[in-house]
Amino acid sequence: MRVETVWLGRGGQGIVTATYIVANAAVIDGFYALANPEFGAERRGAPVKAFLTIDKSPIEDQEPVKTPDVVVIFDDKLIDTMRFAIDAVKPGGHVIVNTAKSPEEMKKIIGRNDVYLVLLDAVGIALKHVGLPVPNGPLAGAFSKVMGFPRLESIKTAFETQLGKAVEENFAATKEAYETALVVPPERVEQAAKPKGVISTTSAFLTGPYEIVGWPEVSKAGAVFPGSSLFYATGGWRLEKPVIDHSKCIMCRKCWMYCPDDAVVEAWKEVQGPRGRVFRMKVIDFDYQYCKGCAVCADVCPTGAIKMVREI
Amino acid sequence: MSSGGRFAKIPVYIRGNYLVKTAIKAAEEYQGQYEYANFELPDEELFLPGHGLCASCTIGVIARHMLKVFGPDTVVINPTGCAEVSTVVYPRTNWGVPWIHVAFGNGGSVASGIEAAIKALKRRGVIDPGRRINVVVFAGDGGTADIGFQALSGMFERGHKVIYVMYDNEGYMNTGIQRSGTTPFGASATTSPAGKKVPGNVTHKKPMAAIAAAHGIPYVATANPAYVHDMVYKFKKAMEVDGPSFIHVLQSCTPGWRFEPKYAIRVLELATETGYWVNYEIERGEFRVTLPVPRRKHVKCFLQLQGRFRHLKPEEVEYIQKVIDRDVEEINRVVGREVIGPVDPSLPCLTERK
Repeated sequence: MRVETVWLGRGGQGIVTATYIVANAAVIDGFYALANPEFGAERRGAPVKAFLTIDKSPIEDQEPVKTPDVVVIFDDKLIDTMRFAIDAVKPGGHVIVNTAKSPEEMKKIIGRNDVYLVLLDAVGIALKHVGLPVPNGPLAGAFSKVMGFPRLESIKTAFETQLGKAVEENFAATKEAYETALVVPPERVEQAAKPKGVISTTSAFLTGPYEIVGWPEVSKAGAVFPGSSLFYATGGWRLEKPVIDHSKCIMCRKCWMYCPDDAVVEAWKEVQGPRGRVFRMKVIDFDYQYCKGCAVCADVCPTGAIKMVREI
Repeated sequence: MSSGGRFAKIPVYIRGNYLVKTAIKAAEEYQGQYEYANFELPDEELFLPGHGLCASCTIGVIARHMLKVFGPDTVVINPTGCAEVSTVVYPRTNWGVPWIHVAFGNGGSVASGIEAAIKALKRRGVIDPGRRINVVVFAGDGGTADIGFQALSGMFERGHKVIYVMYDNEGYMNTGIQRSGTTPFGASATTSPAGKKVPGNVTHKKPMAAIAAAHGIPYVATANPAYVHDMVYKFKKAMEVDGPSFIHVLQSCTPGWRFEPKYAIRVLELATETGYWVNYEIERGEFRVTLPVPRRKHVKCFLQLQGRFRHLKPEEVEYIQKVIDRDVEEINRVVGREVIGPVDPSLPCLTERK
């Protein structure tokens, strides 16, 4: 028996820790495990891909997983950009998604009917028990539920060795996820069928539409077009989005001043006066395409007009 | 957008007319202190969104306002560092101005060369001699205080007209939080971890602004992005002097300082309010504190927000407070009157915002 898994998420969510915890727990249960993460720049919000292979016999190859049995997705906004990983799941495999959306909606987004779909609101569970939006503990619990290993007690021991603190809180989150994770079975499974694609190693830490530039096409001195980063929509990073109450806003523009992403913009809005006349007024609005959800605008707002609302 | 210009033809650059128009009238907010900073910031953005900086990274705030002041006629020299790896991921860039990446150690020398080349091209008539082109180095603390120090010192000594902006996040944050020359006492970094006997980093912060001032250059300043009015005023001053200028900007780093992302500006405000960071400028030898603090908060207000100081024992906090008291005394002595006041324990650490 050999189980190959891929864990997808963003830096800061605890993807690497999650694979280490599951690997340690599997080792405690008598398996062999190999966890090898793959990421680019060491910063928050950067996409991270971690591979975890669990086997009954010693693992000799250390290659990245090409066609996984299980894909664990930490952030449902990553699905569109990381679709290659879902396409690469073997028929009859599992896709574990951290989401607050309904099963029907999620099924449509995933778009595959020959895999098990496992849904849980891991961020909600983590916020309830741990107080931080780190969905690694709950997703380890969901993994344990669908695969039948590692045992929950081993996960607790792994928490003790890997985290060393907040063990009880994390284990409570794991246990709740183990009990509440929703498993949607596939409609039909053709065992002989092959997965649609493989995870290529070049797509390691990039998301979104990007092009691989071969060396003959590289411009002189590597010069690039100014402002071409506008194609990177960094809005996918956020967990919470800012929402403004225009009745409280005094247009001091402090949020605009302190926004590191130019995501606070001024827009024209049409409002109706008391006698039915329509006025156009200038209001502060957010550019959700680029907002990373850091909540600095909500913190600097002197009147409390900006509130953060959970998005996933 | 300013009228026409080189970027008028580039479709992705223009984000429409909905760009914010704002007037930074600092004099209204800080009466009696900021009469000189009464100018408007342009509405054009030259540091565009889509970059890969961490959520709430204040490099974005510094670079946005820096380019608003300097305008499109600017050449940015960016030695290796956080700003370089996260803003320019080939084949994309989010700088709307000419930008060059150089090695960690030679920001100052490349800037000298570019400045000399512009001078030569102006003499030959290739570039209009009346055109003002700003040469700006945007370097981190590693590229300035540690690795790039000799290039910086040489640039000051030769007197090139270059604006050197150093964003100081007090460590090598991009490579995984190693200590640098500007890491303060007591901060825990991966190469200066806090243990039972050693409280993290044991050395003190390198006074880069004072070192730059010792070269005798026309303009040196320290700035804090939480006080944008003060910061943009200093950028403007640096742009107008004839000769090298150096601006040391404090920058909060979410993963390195280990605070919640939403406190990015709050922690910087506390740095000035506790006297840990003093905003001053030295213009041709004249020392002036641009942001007086009548009553200081205790330094524990600044330290307790950050995870890198969480291990400190009370006596170590008191030691840091004593060092700050000594520095403040020195600044008051240089100015000749009390600009940074005494510690007032009755001040609340975090003023609750609605």
